[in-house]
Amino acid sequence: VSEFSCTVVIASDSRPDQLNRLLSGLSLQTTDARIEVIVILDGVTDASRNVALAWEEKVGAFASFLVYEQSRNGLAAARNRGAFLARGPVLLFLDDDVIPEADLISVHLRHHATADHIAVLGDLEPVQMRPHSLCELSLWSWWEDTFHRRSAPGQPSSFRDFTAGNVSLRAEDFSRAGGFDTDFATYRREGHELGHRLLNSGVRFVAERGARARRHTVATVRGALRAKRNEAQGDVLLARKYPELIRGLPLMAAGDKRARRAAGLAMFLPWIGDLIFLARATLLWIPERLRRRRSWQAKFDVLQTYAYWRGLRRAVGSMKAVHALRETALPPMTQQIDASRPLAAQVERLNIDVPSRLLVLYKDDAVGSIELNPGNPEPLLPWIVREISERMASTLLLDVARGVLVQQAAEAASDVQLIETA
Amino acid sequence: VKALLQVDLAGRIVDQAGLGDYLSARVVLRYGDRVIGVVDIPIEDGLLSASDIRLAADGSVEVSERLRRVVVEELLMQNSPTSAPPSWTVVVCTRDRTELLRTCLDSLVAVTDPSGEILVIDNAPSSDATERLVAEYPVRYAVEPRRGLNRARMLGAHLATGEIVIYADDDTIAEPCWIPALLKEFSEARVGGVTGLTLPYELETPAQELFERHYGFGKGFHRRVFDIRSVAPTSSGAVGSGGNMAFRKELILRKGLFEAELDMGTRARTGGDLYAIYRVLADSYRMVYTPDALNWHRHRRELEDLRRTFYDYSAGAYSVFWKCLVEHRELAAVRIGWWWFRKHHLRELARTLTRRPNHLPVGVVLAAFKGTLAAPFLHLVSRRAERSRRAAHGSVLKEKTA
Repeated sequence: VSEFSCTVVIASDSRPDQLNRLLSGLSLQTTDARIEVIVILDGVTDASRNVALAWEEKVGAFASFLVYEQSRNGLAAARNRGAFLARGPVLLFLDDDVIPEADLISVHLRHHATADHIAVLGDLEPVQMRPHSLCELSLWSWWEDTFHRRSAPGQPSSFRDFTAGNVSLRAEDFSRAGGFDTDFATYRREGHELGHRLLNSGVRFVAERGARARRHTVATVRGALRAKRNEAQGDVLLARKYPELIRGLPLMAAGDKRARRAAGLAMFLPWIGDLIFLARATLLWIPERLRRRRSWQAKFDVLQTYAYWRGLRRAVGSMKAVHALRETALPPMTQQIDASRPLAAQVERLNIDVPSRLLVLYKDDAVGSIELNPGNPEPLLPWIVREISERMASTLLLDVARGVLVQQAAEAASDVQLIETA
Repeated sequence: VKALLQVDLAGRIVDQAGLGDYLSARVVLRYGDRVIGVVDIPIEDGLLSASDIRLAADGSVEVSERLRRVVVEELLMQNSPTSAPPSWTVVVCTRDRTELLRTCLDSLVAVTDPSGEILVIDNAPSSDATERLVAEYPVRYAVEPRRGLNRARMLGAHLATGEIVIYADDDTIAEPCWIPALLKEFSEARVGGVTGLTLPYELETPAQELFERHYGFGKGFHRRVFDIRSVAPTSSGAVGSGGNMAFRKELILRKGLFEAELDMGTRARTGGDLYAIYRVLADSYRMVYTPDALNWHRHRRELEDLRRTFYDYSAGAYSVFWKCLVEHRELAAVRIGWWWFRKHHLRELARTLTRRPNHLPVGVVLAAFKGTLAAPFLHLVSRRAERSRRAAHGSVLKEKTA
């Protein structure tokens, strides 16, 4: 039996002030459990080392505190190192730019005390560092929508739900899944990749709003575009490793007309595209200053699409290679639900990793079909109910009425039989 | 003049008798707790038969489509897991209107359960009549001595113990489904506020019918979600109104949603609700309008009241547009203000001048014009008064500290 209840693993990437705030937050946790904290400094050259060493010298702040320095290997390798060194049965991975709420660890541990083979996905609400920054508002809205969707009742789990910034799981589940894939050294998506393997190994995701850590990073347009480029490169790696996920990745299609135009420019005329989109990114302050939010959002969306496809070009080289990658995708899926039975349990089991056709049945009769898209921003159960009620209400009600009539006829026949027998 | 009735389509529809004083009825159709729509049906010999109601419901495409949808939704969502509703406080702000308040509290007490509370804010009362009335009910009571509806609203939020603060005017009457329907929408953290459907409590006088026709609070029978991707925040008038709205307490206090320089008790007259909704939308939160959160409003009975109401609403709405433009650099306020002016003021003026059926009296239209033109001035005066009050209050505080 371990002497610690939990090991907090922090992979730090040259952000000394944030690291200091995070460690202060961790030292003020309300839990009685013995906590081990491991900080992995991933090729840092700044004051992060001094910050970590200063905390190492503080007696009594944590039951155990360990600092490990490695040459720059990426966050995935750093987290794996932390997990390897950990002595607690539960691993809590935290990004170094978050500030935890006082009960973060106790909320995570409460879930692990009552269930096995779960990964607790905590909240990572971005704090608005610059009031009225549309970029920060956009990031905040995206996160709130994402977390609301993943924590909604009846929502199926997806590999996309797993983000490594505030997540806990049992050490044995982590090692059974094989830890983070270090091929994703400098790219994003290492969390998604591990999420896919964890789900395949039988781990269940539990989204918990109460396990809250707030992200304190200034969001900029430049940073968001860089992240998109890295996401594209991460997606290519994901696609190469898991053909079953390809259909759900944004590299399958660019979207609307404007997005397709941006994608075409990124793939075929990148030098011209870079000039145009650099100018557009530079001028993005104009709609922001004029408070033209929808115009800003539309322009920002196109910029993000361009950045994604630019990253894709860097990763695979040409559109031909993207097509080749697409061809390795598994055939499209068809799933089904029966509207005569409780929907929540059926919806929870649906696969939302890739687009699919959802057949809606009422007992044995087909009522209609819905196209399921993994990019759907709403929780799945109410969305499916709304789709059925808006598009198939008449057919479904006819089926229900027919079912009632058939049942009544059967009951009447059985009554007649009883009377005849009597 | 119309009789107002409610019919639940989930149950047995019965004949409605004793309507001899009315020529027609406005029937609100429901399916259990869900509100489906409204149909106007002529009354013959004081009787509205069940078959007439059924025929009217079947004859309205909108009603029958929504009914089908609602029936299917209820069927499919049976036994579905739901998140626990948040705690709540209903805040009723009032000023010397005890008779109206009595009806409002009667309806609220009847629909309240132990998961929430009712809080009455008595705004600059001229007597203790409200306090004596409130003592008869199981509700909390507080006095805001400074005049101003928005001040009372802010005090209500400060004193509320619930996570969600639901605002009701003292001239509204709550339906049993009102509070649960509002709370249901707060399951999403990004929803900062919810508004509901407000229908007239009575349509007994021409003034009430004119008000409902031209300035009714109803926003239709379809649930709508508003955010900055779908509307400009300055279009807050499309979202809802102050007699039927709820916000997260934390958001009200953090953002100071209700500005003291707006709404009743100030020169700006109204607009506190519009500005609060604007702030919620501008901060990237969502506003949800749900027709299932139904309450009733007692429209003013006299034409003279109607003239004042139109003046107040125009002055308040344009004060908010002006404030958004000047203080928040919202260019969209000009566009919305112009659209509103064309759609309401100019159109109503044209209808009045050409004597179209159900047109407004010319005095009422002119009052709306007057309110619009006076709005920048009124807002300026109101803002200055509030600032000087704050400065004076600040100096008093300094003296006390010294």
